[in-house]
Amino acid sequence: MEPGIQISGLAKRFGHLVVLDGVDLKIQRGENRVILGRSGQGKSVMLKLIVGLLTPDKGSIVVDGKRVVGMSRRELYDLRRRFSMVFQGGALFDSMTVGDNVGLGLAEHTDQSPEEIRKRSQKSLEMVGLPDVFKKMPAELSGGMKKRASLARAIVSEPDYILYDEPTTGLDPITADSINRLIQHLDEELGVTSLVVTHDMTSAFMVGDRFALLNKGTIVFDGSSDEARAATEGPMAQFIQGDSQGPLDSL
Amino acid sequence: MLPSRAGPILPAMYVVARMGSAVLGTVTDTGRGGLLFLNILRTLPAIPKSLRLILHQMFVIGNGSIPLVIITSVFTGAVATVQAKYQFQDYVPIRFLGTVVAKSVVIELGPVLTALVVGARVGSSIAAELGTMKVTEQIDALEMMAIDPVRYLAMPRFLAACMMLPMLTIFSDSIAILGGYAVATLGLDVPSKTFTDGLRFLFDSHDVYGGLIKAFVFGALIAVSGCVNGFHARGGAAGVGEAAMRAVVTASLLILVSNFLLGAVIFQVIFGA
Ligand SMILES: Nc1ncnc2c1ncn2[C@@H]1O[C@H](COP(=O)(O)OP(=O)(O)OP(=O)(O)O)[C@@H](O)[C@H]1O
Ligand SMILES: [Mg+2]
Repeated sequence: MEPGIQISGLAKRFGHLVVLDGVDLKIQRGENRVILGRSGQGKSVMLKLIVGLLTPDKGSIVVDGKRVVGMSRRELYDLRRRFSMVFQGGALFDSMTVGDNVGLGLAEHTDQSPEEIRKRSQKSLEMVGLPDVFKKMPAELSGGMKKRASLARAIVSEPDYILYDEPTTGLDPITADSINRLIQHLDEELGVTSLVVTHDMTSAFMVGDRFALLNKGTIVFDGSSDEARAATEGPMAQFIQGDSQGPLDSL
Repeated sequence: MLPSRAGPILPAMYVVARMGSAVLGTVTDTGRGGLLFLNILRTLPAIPKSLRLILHQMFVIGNGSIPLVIITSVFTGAVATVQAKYQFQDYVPIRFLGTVVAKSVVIELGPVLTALVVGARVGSSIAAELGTMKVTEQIDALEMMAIDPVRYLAMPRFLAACMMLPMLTIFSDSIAILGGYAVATLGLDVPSKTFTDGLRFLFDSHDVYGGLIKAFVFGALIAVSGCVNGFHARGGAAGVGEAAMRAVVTASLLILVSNFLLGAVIFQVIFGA
């Protein structure tokens, strides 16, 4: 068995819209993989495919030696308990307090006491710089605070894999920096494997070991952060420089 | 669907087409609802774990529905009494007034009107709540935490509705009969004893059971319709509104159709034999 995530020939369409058209990508255990791509290229769809929230039309996804496509509900739930996802829009449960949002997974899946769960949730919230929001409702938080609360919810269960969908979008530069440090810390200290979808190149170079660039349904760049930084021509160079002229189609 | 230069025949066709799509929507919902129902049954072993969620939903359904049920029931009982008295003219003895009011309330008016009124309120709110969770990825977030949305969201609402509808119906029956009594004695010069004797006369507990069985099924229909439309909501706020509307239309149609079928089965086949 090869640990990590192997994606091959992955294809997904919605009606006539072809979103992914043969994606091949390997993510090794412990690595921090940054996934870049223009808006609407299917980055969020790819994350959802990996954990079975969507079903691909073609291709295979293997996580730690197990094929995700065709898993039973129970197998999927076992898989997902080792994963967390920070959704692009936060996806906090708006009927419960922020603290309960963070603690829900522990309350459902462990037999820890409410007191322990409260402590762990609070600690998680402190790690993302939100020490005083435990009793607040999600609607009372700012956009950036919601994103960080969602991050707290993702890390509280100490998963092996964390999928971040634009974790720093909409945050001020200083908060964004602390989130990037947190992602690095989780990676280095706890050995978490991360997939980070981002448009924020500062963040990308800070947290990423390896880079992938998704365009028109396929991976057009796959390399280390040094190779990405060194790219002087081709799609990766165009993306980093933010040039509307080049191999990546502009609007 | 409607061409701009609609002739006189086209509006009629448009109406037929709209009815057709409402019926189609109900058929789709019924199919999806059947599947969801089976899925809910699958999660029943997790009832002990979900007790708090179920109690919370019972409270949500009961608490908000009581004022609505009171108003509906008072007027239903009052109208039933006035109409019965009017239809009796001088042909039917007035001592049957209480009998007729009680029977029509307990068998038909109580269960059906309660279900329609509570269905509109509860069905739309379930669909809107779950629909919002769907379009804001909260359902995906639950899935991601390995929490089954059917167990966590649908099953508690389903059980709560199945239990609360009969309770609200008993409540509604009592209020409606009281309303009828008040109108009869205060407005129609019927002596109090005549009305209450009528109530007792021909009283059959099967009528009450039959009404409550119907209410139980209506509760199931309301919850499943709300959950199915919520889970399949798509496309932002408009999609959530659409889901809420469809939940109410489907629930109402199914309540009326199943009321007929259940009536036939319960009162002709089971109790009639
Ligand atoms: N459930 C769905 N049904 C239909 N179309 C969808 C669905 N999810 C995504 N799409 C479409 O798939 C395409 C890719 O969407 P996706 O959200 O993955 O983009 P993205 O790369 O994450 O973009 P962004 O950077 O803006 O978040 C879009 O055109 C989107 O409209
Ligand atoms: Mg996205």
